[in-house]
Amino acid sequence: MLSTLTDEGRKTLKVRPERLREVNKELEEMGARVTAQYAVLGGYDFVNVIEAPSNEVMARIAVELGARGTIKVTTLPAIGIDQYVEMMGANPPRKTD
Amino acid sequence: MPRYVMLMRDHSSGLKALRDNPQSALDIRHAIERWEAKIIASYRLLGEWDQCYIFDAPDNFKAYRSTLAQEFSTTSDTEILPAVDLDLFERLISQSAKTGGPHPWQIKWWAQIVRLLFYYRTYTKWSRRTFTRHDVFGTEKLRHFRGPCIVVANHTSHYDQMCLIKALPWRIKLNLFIGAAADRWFLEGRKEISLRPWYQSLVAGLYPIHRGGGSRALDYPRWLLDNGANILLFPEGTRARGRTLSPFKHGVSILALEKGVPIVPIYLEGLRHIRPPGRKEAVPGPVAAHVLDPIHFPPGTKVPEATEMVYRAMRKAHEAALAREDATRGGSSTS
Repeated sequence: MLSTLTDEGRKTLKVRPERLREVNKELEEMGARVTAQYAVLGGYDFVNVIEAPSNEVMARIAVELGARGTIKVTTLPAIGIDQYVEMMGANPPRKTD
Repeated sequence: MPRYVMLMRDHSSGLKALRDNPQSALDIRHAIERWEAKIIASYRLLGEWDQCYIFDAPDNFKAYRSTLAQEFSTTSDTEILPAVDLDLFERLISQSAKTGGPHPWQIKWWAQIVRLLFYYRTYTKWSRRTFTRHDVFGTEKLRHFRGPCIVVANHTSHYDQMCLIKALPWRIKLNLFIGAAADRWFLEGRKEISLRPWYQSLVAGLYPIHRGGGSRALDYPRWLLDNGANILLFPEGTRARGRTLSPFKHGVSILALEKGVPIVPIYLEGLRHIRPPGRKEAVPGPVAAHVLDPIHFPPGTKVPEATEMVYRAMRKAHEAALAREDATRGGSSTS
């Protein structure tokens, strides 16, 4: 999940930096787990690597976080590169009559 | 080592290459690793970006340079985002950016007594805990030495001054003031007393240096030398990484030539293994401080010449230390 702070989000973070951790706890309560999180310089403010049981759970999280008006989020489903290479090498499943 | 997040968007040629040879996804990993980077995680993404790599690289340039490899340039667009660990980020935004000091009262007699009383707590306790062996060589060169002087040393660790201080006679070290980065050691609003600017000035004898402050950064050390104090500066400017001795900045020579004071070079050995940049915990190990011959500049010496003289002296000691280290490593690997 790539996220960008809104103006309101920046103000909140300046006053209450501990909000960063509180959000992680809330994500856990919604069924996801933050495995890595970085503040970054560039086109985004944060890069979050999140494990979620399904795309649906992640969609719910994205709406929940976006609705607060403090961040804009972009969620990208991710596959480990090794797993991806393995999957790409496999043949497509054959149709059976 | 700094961490980076790299996002990649494949061109159609990149997608074709990937379809024909899925293993080509791993070529990018190798291209990044060629520039001394270490991959922490890598993902294939569904959405506006196609790949994400999280990696550690020695510096911004090497992180950027790795993306110019052929594996990238013909097949994808890339965006590199320098990443800050979230704990550090939280700490940084909680802190005030205001800095305190310098505190001219730090040269008063009572401040010297405080430093003497706190000497064990500031230096001895930590050096006993961190240095498994602490050798000092060449102290006889300072036997009849009086200040004021400028002590310079190579800089590889936050523990450098703990190693160095043992090599100096009491009359120098109680009246020694150490330039330290204002944005790290003199931030206002710290909770711990030992991290407050007044404490650093009084007990550790530090004074703030504003990075990039130009010639104004020398105003306070000038004042210290005028008032008979000694100063310690790390002419490399920041901690060096790896086995290198970084080029020296000219500030030390400017001060020495302007005030007509000698430079006392001290080469510190073994400190880069104790706590180099990027490591949070100290790893105990042996260290040594080598006092080199004090350098008195003849009249008419130019600043670049003076910097070169000091650098040459330190470089010689540095090469000797590296040779000792290689010999020890060679000896231990063959035994």
